[in-house]
Amino acid sequence: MRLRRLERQCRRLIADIEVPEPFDLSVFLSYIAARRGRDLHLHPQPAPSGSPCGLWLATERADHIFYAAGADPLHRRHIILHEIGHILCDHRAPGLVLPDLDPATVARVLLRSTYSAPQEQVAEMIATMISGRVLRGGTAPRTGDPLLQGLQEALIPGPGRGLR
Amino acid sequence: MAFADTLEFLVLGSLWAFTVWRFATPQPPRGRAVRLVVLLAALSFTFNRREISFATDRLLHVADVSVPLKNLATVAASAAMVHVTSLMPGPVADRPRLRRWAYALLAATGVTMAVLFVLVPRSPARGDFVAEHAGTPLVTAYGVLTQFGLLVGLACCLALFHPAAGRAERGTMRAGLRLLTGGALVGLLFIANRVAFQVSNALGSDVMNGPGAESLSRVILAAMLLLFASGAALPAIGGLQRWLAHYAALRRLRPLWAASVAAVPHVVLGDPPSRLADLLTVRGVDLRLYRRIIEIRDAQWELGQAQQAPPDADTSLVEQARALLRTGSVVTTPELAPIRRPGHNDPPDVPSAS
Repeated sequence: MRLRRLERQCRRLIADIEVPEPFDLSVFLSYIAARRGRDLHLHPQPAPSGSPCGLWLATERADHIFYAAGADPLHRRHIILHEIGHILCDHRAPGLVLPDLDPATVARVLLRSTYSAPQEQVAEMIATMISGRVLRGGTAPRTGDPLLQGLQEALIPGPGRGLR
Repeated sequence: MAFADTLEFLVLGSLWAFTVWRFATPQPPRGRAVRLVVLLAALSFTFNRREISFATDRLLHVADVSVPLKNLATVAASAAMVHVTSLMPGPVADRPRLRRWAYALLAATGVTMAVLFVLVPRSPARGDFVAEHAGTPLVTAYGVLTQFGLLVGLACCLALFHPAAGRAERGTMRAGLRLLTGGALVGLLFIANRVAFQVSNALGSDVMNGPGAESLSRVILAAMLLLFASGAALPAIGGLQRWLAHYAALRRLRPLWAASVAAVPHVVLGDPPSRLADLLTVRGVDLRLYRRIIEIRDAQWELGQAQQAPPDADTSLVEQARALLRTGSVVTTPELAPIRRPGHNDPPDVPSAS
């Protein structure tokens, strides 16, 4: 998929997603959980390098994100946001990742390992765009004065919205 | 070259450089409104240069048509400034009627100026009708209306920048706001000069008609615009420094990124940018740098160079997820970090393995 088209598609998908400023991952995940009306559980797990570094598992009542605890903090946050991208799009795995488990209770499982599949590209772009919003929110110094805040936004350009 | 000419060229270059930069960088709605003001001011001042105004008149075959083009661009810049002020918390945003009145007055000013332009006697000779026929009723009315159009925009600048400069902390933001306030004050001086020029001519005096007075008027106008351009650019210097640092980092990381993704090509999102595209693309530097870091990290992870996992980490996340599900310990494992939706009181989520 062309990058520009992918960006446009993902921008529409996350247009109404609220990203907290300043960014706090736990606040953001609580927001996603409340928005979906389902619990969201994070599972930091030791994982060997070379294996998938993130996994989303949806059960009857909750979403579970497994991620490689050994990754560095920026990478870790990105892995989690990638899985959030799958959650927001309600992606379905093309094949069975855990074929031995009851499909009624394990609704879907998706892995972060490669971006060649369209679903993975979308999830990766969503993670990147949410991170872009985090970058934009984090660069401008915050001031309690609304007039000064407004003038800062008007006079100081922030980071770009897109990749190209 | 005369001082006034040098200053005008400096201002023209600064205004267009600033305009191009504002259009090349992504802007939030307030930034886009400022960008429009800057573009209109740059257009107005471009038509103000004699060479360009004569060329425009000749091209369009209408004597002195560059004069209303310049003045209407100024009135439009004032209207855009009203819009900027309405986007900021303050007296204009709180009074929508005041804003509507300002727009209506500016629209009426523009229409009246256009009508007066048609009515006043003009000639294709060098020199515009505002100077040639200064003091005549129609031209005096035109000149005063022009200055009214500018006055509205300057009043908005003063209402916005002066109080903000007083409240801003020391630094580039406060310095920029002070320069913008200074620009508005110099603009008021320019208005006084131009109105005095028309009134003195109407009274039969030629005290303001010499080349010295004309140069003074040009210098005041150029000084106003220079203060505006530098005042608007100064707060963004921090952003420019950040952009330069990120662009340099993007360049520095390219060899490592290229080597990493050559080994693990599937971690690249989209088509890998060529060396030339990487060098010439100036947009989206922050996000491109972020992607570059993530793609390097992903490649390192795939290649097994990331932080070494503990010795017991011999199973993949899939296996661990399966094991946790089988034992039904998904929510009871102490190291798990559940994110609960507010007010949630459902039974624990324990799926059964088939």
